[in-house]
Amino acid sequence: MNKTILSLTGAVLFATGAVVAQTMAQSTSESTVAPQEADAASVARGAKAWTNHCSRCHNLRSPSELNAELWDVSVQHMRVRANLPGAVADDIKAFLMSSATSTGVQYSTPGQGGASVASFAHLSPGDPLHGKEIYSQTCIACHGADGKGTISGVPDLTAAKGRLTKTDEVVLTNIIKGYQSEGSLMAMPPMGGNPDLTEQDIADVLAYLRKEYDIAPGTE
Amino acid sequence: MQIACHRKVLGLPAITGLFSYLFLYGSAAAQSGYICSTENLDRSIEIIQPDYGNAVCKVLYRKPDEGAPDQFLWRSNQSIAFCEEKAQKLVASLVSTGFDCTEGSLEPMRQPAQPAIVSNKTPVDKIAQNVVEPHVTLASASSENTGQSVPAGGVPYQRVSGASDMKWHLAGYADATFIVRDFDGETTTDFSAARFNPGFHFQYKDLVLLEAELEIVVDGDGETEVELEYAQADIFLHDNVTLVAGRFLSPVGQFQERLHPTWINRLANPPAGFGHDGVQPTSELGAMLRGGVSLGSTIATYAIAVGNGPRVSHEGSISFEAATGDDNANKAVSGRLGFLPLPYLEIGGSFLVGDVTGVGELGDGHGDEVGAPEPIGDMDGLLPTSGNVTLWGADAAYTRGPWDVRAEYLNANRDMMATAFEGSIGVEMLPELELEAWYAQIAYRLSGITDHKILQRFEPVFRYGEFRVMGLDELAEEAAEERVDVGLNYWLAPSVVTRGVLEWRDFTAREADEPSSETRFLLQFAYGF
Ligand code: HEC
Ligand code: HEC
Repeated sequence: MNKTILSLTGAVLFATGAVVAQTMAQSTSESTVAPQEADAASVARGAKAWTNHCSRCHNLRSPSELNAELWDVSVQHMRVRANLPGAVADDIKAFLMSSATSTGVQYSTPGQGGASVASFAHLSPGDPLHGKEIYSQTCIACHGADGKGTISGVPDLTAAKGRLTKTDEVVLTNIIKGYQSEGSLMAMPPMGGNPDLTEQDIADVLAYLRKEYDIAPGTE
Repeated sequence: MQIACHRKVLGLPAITGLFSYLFLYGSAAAQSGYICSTENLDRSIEIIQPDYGNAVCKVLYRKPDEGAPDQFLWRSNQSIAFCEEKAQKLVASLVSTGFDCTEGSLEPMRQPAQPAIVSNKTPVDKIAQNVVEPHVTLASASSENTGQSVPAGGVPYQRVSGASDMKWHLAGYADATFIVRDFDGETTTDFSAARFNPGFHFQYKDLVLLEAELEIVVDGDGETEVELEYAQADIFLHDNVTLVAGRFLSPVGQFQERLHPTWINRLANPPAGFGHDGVQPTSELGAMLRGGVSLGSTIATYAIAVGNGPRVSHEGSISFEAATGDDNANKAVSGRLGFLPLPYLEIGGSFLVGDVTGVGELGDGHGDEVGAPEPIGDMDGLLPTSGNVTLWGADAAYTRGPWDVRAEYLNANRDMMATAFEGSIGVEMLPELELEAWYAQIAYRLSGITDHKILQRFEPVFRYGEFRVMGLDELAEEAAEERVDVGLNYWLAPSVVTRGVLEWRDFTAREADEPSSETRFLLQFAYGF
């Protein structure tokens, strides 16, 4: 009776597996190239996919927890557990690997021992319009469309007495080099993890944030 | 190459010559720049024309003598003139502060960021391809022997996928639990168990991942038990298909496969009916196909497994734990389909169909003896028979921002069958058995309402669950219960937590004169690594 059905199902499953294995062998070896070709667009998609998929079962783990090679293995592990399509896993890898290798995570407040605050005198005044564009491509994944943060550990940038009251130099340094405040559960990856951004881009985003949330520098 | 026409290609000595050659013919980038010097230090401003990404030019500012990291200051997606203009302005401002500037370029002196990551075996061209910043090609070309990508910009950046074929990772979790129990008017306290579960992951390219996890438990009596949680090979056949073979966690439901590690579970123990000897299948030995497909911004997932399936447990119930031998020729088929209508809302449906075969006599009494038992008739001539097992379940999870809300239902049915079990006289007929368990759980992380350093780490949790057993009185008396949990998590890190949980258990099938309620306080420390 249903013994036969079960055995049949089993056989069919294995057969399917074998056939798929055969026909896909080619495309698999090609798809191994994919993560290497990762680009800024992949990183941006990855940041979004990371916040979407990687908090479904457990807390998001900070990109600073593992180095790039370990993220490679761990995301592969999670691809199986979470049934992620390979392309989505590759994007997440691109994001985590670029965020993790940008080793700039700091545990001290710039200007208070430890890391030094960079000078940004050479940059042009920020262009908020361009900054908005950058924000909605890169920063939005963690900070959200409203700036209040989408994941635990991300501060509310809109708070009147919040992070943006620091001076431009400090905030820029923190975004550019990456930042983890004392005891914080989640690190801000350098340049938001996007390898394609420049310092001027960041100055533009900051101008956008200041304008949008009406918070002046140095009012800490 | 355009830039070479705009500006003179740098005419400095040997190295620069080599560079210009590479820029022109190595198709990596074209470059021009300035060196600005004071008495004792040099800085450089270089215009780089990447052959990667959207930018047509970038301005690289380097201050090697000051030990400062290289910085990309500007970028243009349209015109090189933009970069030149910016570079010249910067030069002018340096001149005004006492620097002497000439056209030229500094020798690359960048240090590899994380040499350990990139193996020397890696072909240079492979890495160069993978790295966004074009000068990396230059650097690695000029130091052939390192074979390493060299970060130089504000964002040191490298791709290591493909760096070495074999990578591995040690992960897992550990926990310790302290329990105060109040049962039948008596209070007991103990360190119930300490557990260490190391997991090993070996990845060969993007083709295969081997994963295995051990469970090492020290129980209250100081006995150490080591068990293999799972050991499986994941073979990546296709973007949407992974073949899993070996002993793996059952894909049925959401608790076992996804939530049972203590750093993930929001409470200190599994819901009623979801631990060992419950209705939740724990592990399977066999093969599984699984994966997901993107549907616009959401995904749908599947997992379907064929394995040895369930067996008769020593109480005469169903044991859903993987065994090395099958108790019958029939394989069990099980699986789960999941759908995410929204990225933070997942709905799943699970099933299992299989057979259990009765035993003539008990083995070591745990229902996990190896090999198919001999069907021996008893004096009445009653022979053990098989019973069909069908299980279905549904689960849902809402995990948006600070919320973690979950619910799950599982129902298993076994036909009437004949078997020996603990307390039976030889082989006896068992009526149809139904096991049913469900829970609903809600957790909220205070980071949703406060940025306060300490307060935002707290997370209150509430869970209600029931386990029902119909058709096997002994098991019902022992295990059928309603369970209420109220807990508070304090997250030290995303995978490190200390929690206190108050738990009320009401055993619903006990005789009227037997104590039927228990109150417990559980204090747990859990660490995922
Ligand atoms: C389907 C649920 C689920 C999803 C979605 C998920 N994880 Fe996991 N994750 C787990 C479980 C379960 C473990 C524990 C594995 C174990 O101990 O066997 C884990 C473990 C980990 C670990 C510890 C190291 C390891 O590999 O075991 C890291 C890091 C991690 N996950 C990161 C991620 C990232 C990044 C993502 C997004 C790609 C993700 N997780 C998505 C369930 C999930
Ligand atoms: C991967 C998630 C993530 C991305 C992407 C991200 N951030 Fe952040 N950001 C964080 C976290 C987490 C913190 C808090 C770090 C801490 O305080 O420890 C933070 C902090 C900040 C702060 C406050 C810094 C301070 O000095 O206190 C600013 C400003 C900021 N981010 C801006 C940005 C901008 C601009 C982008 C886009 C270029 C961006 N972030 C992208 C996660 C992210």
